[in-house]
Amino acid sequence: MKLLSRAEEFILLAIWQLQENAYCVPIRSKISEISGEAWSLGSIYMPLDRLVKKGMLESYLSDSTPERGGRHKRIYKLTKAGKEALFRVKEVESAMWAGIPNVSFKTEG
Amino acid sequence: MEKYRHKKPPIFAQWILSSLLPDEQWKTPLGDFEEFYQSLVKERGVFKAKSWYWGQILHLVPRKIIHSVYWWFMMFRNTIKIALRNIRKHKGYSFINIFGLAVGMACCLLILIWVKYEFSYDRFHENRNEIYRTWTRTVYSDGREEVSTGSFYPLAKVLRDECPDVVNAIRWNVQTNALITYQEKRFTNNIVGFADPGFFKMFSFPFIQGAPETALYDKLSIVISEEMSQKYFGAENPIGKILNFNNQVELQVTGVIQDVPKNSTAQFDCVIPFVLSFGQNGAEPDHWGGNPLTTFVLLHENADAEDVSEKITETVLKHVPLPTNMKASMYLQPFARMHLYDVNGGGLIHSITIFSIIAVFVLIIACMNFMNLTTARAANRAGEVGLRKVVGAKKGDLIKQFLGESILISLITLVFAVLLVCLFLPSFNELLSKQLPLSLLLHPIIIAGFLAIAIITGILSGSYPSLFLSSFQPVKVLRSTLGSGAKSALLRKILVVSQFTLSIFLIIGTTFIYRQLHFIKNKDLGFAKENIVNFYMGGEISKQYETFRSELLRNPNILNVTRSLQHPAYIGSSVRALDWEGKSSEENISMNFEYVDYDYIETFGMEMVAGRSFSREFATDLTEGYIVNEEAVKLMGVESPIGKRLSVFRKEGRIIGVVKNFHFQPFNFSIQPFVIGADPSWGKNRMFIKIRPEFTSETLNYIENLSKRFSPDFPVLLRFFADDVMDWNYSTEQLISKIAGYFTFLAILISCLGLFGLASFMAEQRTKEIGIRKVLGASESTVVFMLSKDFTKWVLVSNLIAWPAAYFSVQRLLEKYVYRIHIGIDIFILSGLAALVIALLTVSFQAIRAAQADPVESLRYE
Repeated sequence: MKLLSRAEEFILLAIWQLQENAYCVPIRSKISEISGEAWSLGSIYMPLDRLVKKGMLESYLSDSTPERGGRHKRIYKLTKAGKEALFRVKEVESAMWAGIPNVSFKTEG
Repeated sequence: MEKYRHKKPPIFAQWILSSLLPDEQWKTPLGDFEEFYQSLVKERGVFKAKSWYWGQILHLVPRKIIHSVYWWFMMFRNTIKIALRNIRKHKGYSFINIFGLAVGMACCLLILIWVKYEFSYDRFHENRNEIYRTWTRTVYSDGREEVSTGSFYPLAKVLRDECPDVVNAIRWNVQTNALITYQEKRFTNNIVGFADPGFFKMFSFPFIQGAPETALYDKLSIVISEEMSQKYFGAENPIGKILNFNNQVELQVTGVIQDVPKNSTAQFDCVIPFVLSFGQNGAEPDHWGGNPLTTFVLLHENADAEDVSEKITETVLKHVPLPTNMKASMYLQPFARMHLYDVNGGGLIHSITIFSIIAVFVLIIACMNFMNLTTARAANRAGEVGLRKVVGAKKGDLIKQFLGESILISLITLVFAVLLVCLFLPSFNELLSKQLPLSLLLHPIIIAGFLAIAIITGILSGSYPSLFLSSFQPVKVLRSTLGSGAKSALLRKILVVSQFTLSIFLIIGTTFIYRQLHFIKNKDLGFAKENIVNFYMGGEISKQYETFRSELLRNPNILNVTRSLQHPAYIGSSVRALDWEGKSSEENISMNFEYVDYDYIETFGMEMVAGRSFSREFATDLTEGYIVNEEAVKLMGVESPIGKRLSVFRKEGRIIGVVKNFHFQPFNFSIQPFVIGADPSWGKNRMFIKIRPEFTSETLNYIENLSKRFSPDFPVLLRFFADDVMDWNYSTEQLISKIAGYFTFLAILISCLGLFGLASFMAEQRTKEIGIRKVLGASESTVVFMLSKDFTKWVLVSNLIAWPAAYFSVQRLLEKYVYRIHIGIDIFILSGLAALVIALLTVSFQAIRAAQADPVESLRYE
């Protein structure tokens, strides 16, 4: 299986962290908060959809809050396949980093 | 709650977003957006939040559009592919569908082109909405009405001088076959218009040389068409040249106009001042007798024609006092309506309506074929429908698909229909004796009309099939083969019955039109119309009538010669200035009149009931003799009319004979009282020659040569009297009967095609049943009977519906003829039988084939 893209990876990680409250808005703010980049809502939807299709996420509807104008939330949950994909990315990444000497030096060095 | 109210995202933007999302399950982004919006409001204010929301929408909409267009196109490509595959797979049915539809459409297109052409008449005049033609309605005390479009010589001047709403009024008249000479060039085939000077300011005939403001104002001027200029002057400049008119006056060319368009009511080669119709120095008549001229009136833009009509009537009545027991009023007919509408109802619009209805009938019949065959063969496509539904197509998608398919087929058909139109336009032109140009096909309105007809046809014929097909339930369809269900069988019955109802209706209608025409052609007019040649005597022949006549009579093949003022097939003039012995003073009646020469009664073989005809042996016959018809005697109420005093136009005389009633008007009119005089002071320019039927062409040659010798400048136009009667009085009837005949044929052809397709389909469906029946001992004839039984029933039902409808229409059609055929039941029965026989022949062809098939083959087939 192909590796996850960076956006997919971030989103999956965000969802894992958020647990029961993993729907679009908090996912976005979590990623923006940690990475310091402004992610738009639209840029979350597409990977979410894709991940559901790939079977790495499940979604279900949950209750609404007044802030949402009375509309349901679509809550996402990591599947087993999703977790496995994350681990695989991490492994590959560490392996790639492992081949680089003087890891502790800053890049300007 | 109040807290959230100003924090709601813009409602319209929400609505857009919500309408872009597929269904309720997937509306969660709406909530996400709203939540994000709330946080934006808190962090950066309402304005920022709003502009963010709108920005998202603006971002989304174009993508959505591109996306849906893309998929629409993909699906459409699929529709086309499937449709074309279906056409190819079932060539026979497709041929029936497309051919039938193409013929139906071609009929409609031809009629559309024709209607467009007729409606384009006189549209090129800038003042077309302000120009009117005057006409008169006279009501007599006995309730009789007379409508005349002829006008009066002084009318135009009176209107100009005395009616403030009238901008201009001009007189107009046309002379055909006028002789015009320029040096050596002499042509007699000129159509000359006589018009008052303002003519070219009122009507917009574009000038090439000269100007409408000045061209006709000189008394001795002439304005010629480009074609005529070419004919007489070639490349020379025509302005200022002198043309001689009728060997009478010399006229100077003051203007050249573009050739008069074909779709102009006024047709002419040149126009000369109206005063010239009275000779060069002729005095203008100031009497108010009806005359063969037209008065056109140009009104102020905001004048109301009805008001002005009343004012005109008042003004005219000041000049012409009427007897108390007679009422006359003048009316204005819009010039733009002149071509299509007669002043007393009817006119060309009548034929246009009839043809349009018939053409639409033909198209509807073709559409029904389409619906019929598509629904009948629905079973073949049930599998496709089922599969599409299983894969996720909704009912709406399928309706779209099948409608798209039928619209596609009708657009393909349109191509064939246009080809058919191109092919048959020349014949159609001949039928109508018109020159509809093929270029009309490219007119935007026509193209739009064509497309509209094609799309409407597609929607009409695809409507039921698409609803029907799309409602299949996939489980049922895919589990077992679907029979051609009872629901569609009922519809099929209804469609076949309506097709045949329309066809039978058309057969009956057309047969009656033919019958009436036949009746008109063959009914005894009360005089012999065969073997009589007639022509209009110009100039010399008229002056030397006696010599010409005796020369003619030398030829043993010429039996009799006479002349008269009018044409005995249509006598329109009537006289009120009548007096006779014993006439009570209150009676104000009118009679039709005619002035003739010796031998009139004999040439036409009219029968005298009493007395004698005009005779050379009685010197006073010419000046004092009157012959009346039986109807006149009845009206006058005298016991023994012979020898009684009678004065016509205040000219005293005696009745010398009574002629048996004869038809001097079309059969729309009953025979009216009629008086014939012989007064030589009336110009009798119409010559009638009775010839022997044996050597017609030699005799015609003789007459022609003789007339050339007498009058080289005015070649005569010989016409057979019998043709004149038909052409003048019944041209519309002839046209309608011809076109209705063709269209009816097409309607029957298309119905039969459909029936043929249906029959073959049904035979196909019952192949196994027929096989089993035959194995069990059924004979071929039983099978044929079984297959044809249903169709017979349907055609019989159609008859029951078509008869009353046809009866009422035919009754209305024949209403206008005083002399008409009896609406007998025989034609109804015969038409019904004819339809039945045609239907059975069509069906039995298939039925016999199915019945003859080897049962072994048909049973092995599964």
